[in-house]
Amino acid sequence: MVLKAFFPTCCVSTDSGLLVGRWVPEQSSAVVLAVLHFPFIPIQVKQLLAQVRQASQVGVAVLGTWCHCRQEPEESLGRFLESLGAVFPHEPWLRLCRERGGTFWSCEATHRQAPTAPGAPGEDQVMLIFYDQRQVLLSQLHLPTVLPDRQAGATTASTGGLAAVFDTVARSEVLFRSDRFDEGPVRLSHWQSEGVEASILAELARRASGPICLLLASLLSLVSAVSACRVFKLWPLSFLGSKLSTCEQLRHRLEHLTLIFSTRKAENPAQLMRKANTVASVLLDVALGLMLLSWLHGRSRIGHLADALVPVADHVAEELQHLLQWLMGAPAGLKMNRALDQVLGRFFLYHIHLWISYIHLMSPFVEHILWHVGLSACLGLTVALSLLSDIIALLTFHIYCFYVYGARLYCLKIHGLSSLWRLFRGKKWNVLRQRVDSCSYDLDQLFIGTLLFTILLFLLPTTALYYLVFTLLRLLVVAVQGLIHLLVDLINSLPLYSLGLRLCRPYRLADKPTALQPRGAHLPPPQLWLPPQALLGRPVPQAVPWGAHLPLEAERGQAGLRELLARLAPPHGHSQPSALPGWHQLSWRMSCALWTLLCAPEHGRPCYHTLGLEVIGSEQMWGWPARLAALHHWHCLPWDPLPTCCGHHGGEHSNPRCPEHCPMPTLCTQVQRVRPPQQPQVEGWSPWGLPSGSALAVGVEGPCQDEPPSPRHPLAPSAEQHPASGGLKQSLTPVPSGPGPSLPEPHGVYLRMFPGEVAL
Amino acid sequence: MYAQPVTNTKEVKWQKVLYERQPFPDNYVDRRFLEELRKNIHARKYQYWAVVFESSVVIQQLCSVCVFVVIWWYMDEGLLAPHWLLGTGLASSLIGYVLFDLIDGGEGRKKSGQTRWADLKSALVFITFTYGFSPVLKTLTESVSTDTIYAMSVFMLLGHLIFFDYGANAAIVSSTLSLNMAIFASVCLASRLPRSLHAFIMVTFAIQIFALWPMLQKKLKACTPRSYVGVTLLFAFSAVGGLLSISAVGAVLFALLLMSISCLCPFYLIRLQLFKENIHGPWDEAEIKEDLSRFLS
Repeated sequence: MVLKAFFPTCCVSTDSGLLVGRWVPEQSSAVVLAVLHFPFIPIQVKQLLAQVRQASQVGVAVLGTWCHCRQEPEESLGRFLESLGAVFPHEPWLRLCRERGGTFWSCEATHRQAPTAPGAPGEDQVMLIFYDQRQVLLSQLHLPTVLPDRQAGATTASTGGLAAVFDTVARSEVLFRSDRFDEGPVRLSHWQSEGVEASILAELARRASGPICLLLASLLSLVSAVSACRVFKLWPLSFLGSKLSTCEQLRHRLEHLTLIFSTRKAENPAQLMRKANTVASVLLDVALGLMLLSWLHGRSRIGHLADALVPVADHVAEELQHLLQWLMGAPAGLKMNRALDQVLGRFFLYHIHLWISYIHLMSPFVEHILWHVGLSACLGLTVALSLLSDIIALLTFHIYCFYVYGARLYCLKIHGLSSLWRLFRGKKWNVLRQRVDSCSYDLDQLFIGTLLFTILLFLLPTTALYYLVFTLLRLLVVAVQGLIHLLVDLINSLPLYSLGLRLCRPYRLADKPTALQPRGAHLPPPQLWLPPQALLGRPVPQAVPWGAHLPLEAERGQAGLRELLARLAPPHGHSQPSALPGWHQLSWRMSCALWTLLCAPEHGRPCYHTLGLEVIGSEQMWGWPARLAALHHWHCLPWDPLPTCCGHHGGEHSNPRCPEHCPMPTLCTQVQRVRPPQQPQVEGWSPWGLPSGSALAVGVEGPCQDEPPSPRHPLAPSAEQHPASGGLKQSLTPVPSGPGPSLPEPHGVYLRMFPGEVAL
Repeated sequence: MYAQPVTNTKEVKWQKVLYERQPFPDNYVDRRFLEELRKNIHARKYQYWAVVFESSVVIQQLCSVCVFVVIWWYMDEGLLAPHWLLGTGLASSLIGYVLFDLIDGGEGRKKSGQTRWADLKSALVFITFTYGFSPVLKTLTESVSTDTIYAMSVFMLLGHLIFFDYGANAAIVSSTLSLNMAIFASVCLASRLPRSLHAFIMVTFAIQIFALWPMLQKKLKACTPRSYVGVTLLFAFSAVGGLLSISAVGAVLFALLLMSISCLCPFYLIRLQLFKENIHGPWDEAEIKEDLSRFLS
């Protein structure tokens, strides 16, 4: 029989100890979960394993021993490991050995009950299988969480194959919460132990970065305060600070460092990206600077540069002298004013002579200066380049002076000429009105002005030529400095971190996606659906207030109900019982109000309006088809209903009573309007008496009877209304026997009403 | 109906009025239309000698330019001693200064408020600046070709003559520009003289003959016309004489120019005035004779 031992790869390099895992007897598999290191106390080990078994319900036990040491102490360790078998009894007992630094493995599985089974061999063959614990857990190939009742069934079903291994590893999370780096009774090694050392170092670095940043931030703020003090605001220092590119670059670097070591947290991804880019550019700058420094200070290159510097300066000076002599002659065939030409040429030649003397005076110290300047590369390549730009500016200072002289002279001349030209033409610049006005000059003013104008005009070509030449020279120097500054700005502003992210992880440059806003549908209250059903069992007075809202709200309520059923069933169930009590209370209150209205009027005429309202309200009960039929029939009537009613009244009673009962025709008209289709089918008495009888009964009984209990009266009208509505529905159909039995009842009610009217 | 017989019987006279109804068509032309014709209402009658007298101002300026050029030529050729010219110039200036005050008895000075001290200061300014700038003037146009200098001088002097104020109220007149052009021309010519002293004397002479001399002549003409005529004749003969010493052909041409300007042009003007016919009549545009300035802001 072959025994399969699953061993985690993360424990291959750990020290010796006990093998902790689960034994699957069905498939003769031993799943090793962790290695328990020495020293340990057996009682504590047993307690830990008991806790793990209780928490994860996995049969975790000590499966055997793990030996990872050299060859020499193997003998004594072997005996010790053998003795451990008695402390932790388990069948079979695994013994895994591996030489440190070697690839030789030895696996043994022994059975203690060998004497009991004489026929079986003492040791089984062991198949060692390595598995990645971390991948097994992350892959989630184990079965999902199931109820405790079915756990046994699931376990039984998943016994076959590797599912048992996955299930064992997944359900043993409790065992993985502590490892050899934690302070506890036992020290375990498993997949969580691999990255702990690195994480500890990272944690230490993270905790140390806070104080370091604070220290550097305070140091930088101190430097900023020193640089921002009043001394540096004075003219000479501020002028030098603005002119020298080295000072500018140092100020720029100070800003960068302040940004890097600031303790304020980045508020948005843009600031975070800017800070990261700054860090990357500073690191690149310092690295390039150190490379330059090593290159310069190797093989005495600084000495060579110093030796080559003075001859270059001499060469430049000689070239300038040749240029000036060319200008003092006839440059490009142009004829200049010889006197002015000589004066200017000698002036500039004298300056060149001074410059050469200065260069030769400084030549012994050039090497030392360059050596110290080279050390500035430690601060970064940009600082070194800025210093180079400043050195070029100092070496070409004479050219700068020439340019300034020529420019000033040329500007002065142009300004004078423009002013004197106005004088020549007899005009003057009006400063107050900012325009040119005529002016009358004195004779001496005109004379001197014209004289100066003539002189300046004839000397202009010479001055312009000198200005042009020196401006070109200045542009040459500025171009070189511009290239250096361009390189410095490139290093300072290159977004290396962003480029790196763009190349390696483009997704991190994207902005955060907008969170999806869950939109809940606005559902109408479900109470609106109930009125139609409730109305069926309610009397007419209670149904009147809700009648006007039936069509629209009913439809909407039904739609809402369908949505509720389609989405969530429980809310529907909850809303239904809560709606009924509210509905009951509201209907009860409305019925009380209506009853008060019926009792309040002192005269009989307001009763007519109430009765009319009731009649109109009862119309709502029919529904749309009946209403449409009624309207159709009403429009088709060829005669006026009023004369018919008067005729009927006259027939029944005497003529002198008819004028007294003039208000009656109004009520008759309303009745006729409500029920126009019934007249052509039946006689005049039956359609008039039936609904008016029931309504009048309600109106008459109200004021006559002073009974305080109101709940009984709503019931009585409803009882009467039922047969009335039934009668109406029957009368709509062409049934000849329908209206017959209803004749005597309305007649009696009608007789009751008249005594009241007579009394009024 | 009733008016027509009256019209037929009586001869109605045409009137140039619009508020009455007349029995004439709109394009009726009365026989008295041409009687209102007028000629040369605003024409001025010129006298021959008066015009000749006024043309003397032009003669003066032309002679000034001629004298300046002649003097420059003499100095350029080295025939004239600078010191002699300087002395003569200063003496002439002093005589002119005294005459300037004597002619009007000092009324002009009192009216203008110009003091002798101010005049002295101006003179010193002129002499100092001219003497100080003379070395610069000497070498000012060394590198410029002589033809360019001559051309510039000619144009400037012509401009001086064109823009000069001869007494006529014309828009082209600009005494400032005229004087400046003359000084510019003198500086250009002075830069061609051999030494700085020559340049200094030349520029000073230019100031005297282009700025001071016209002022004296203007006052002389206003106060004593008779002596003005004499001075003009003397000046003209001097100019022609000087030019004759250089070039006979030039002198003859210049004399002819002066004669034509002073004698022939006035005669021509008067003869042509006989043929002048400005016609005025009822067809003229209406003129508003009332002053409308009170309606302007």
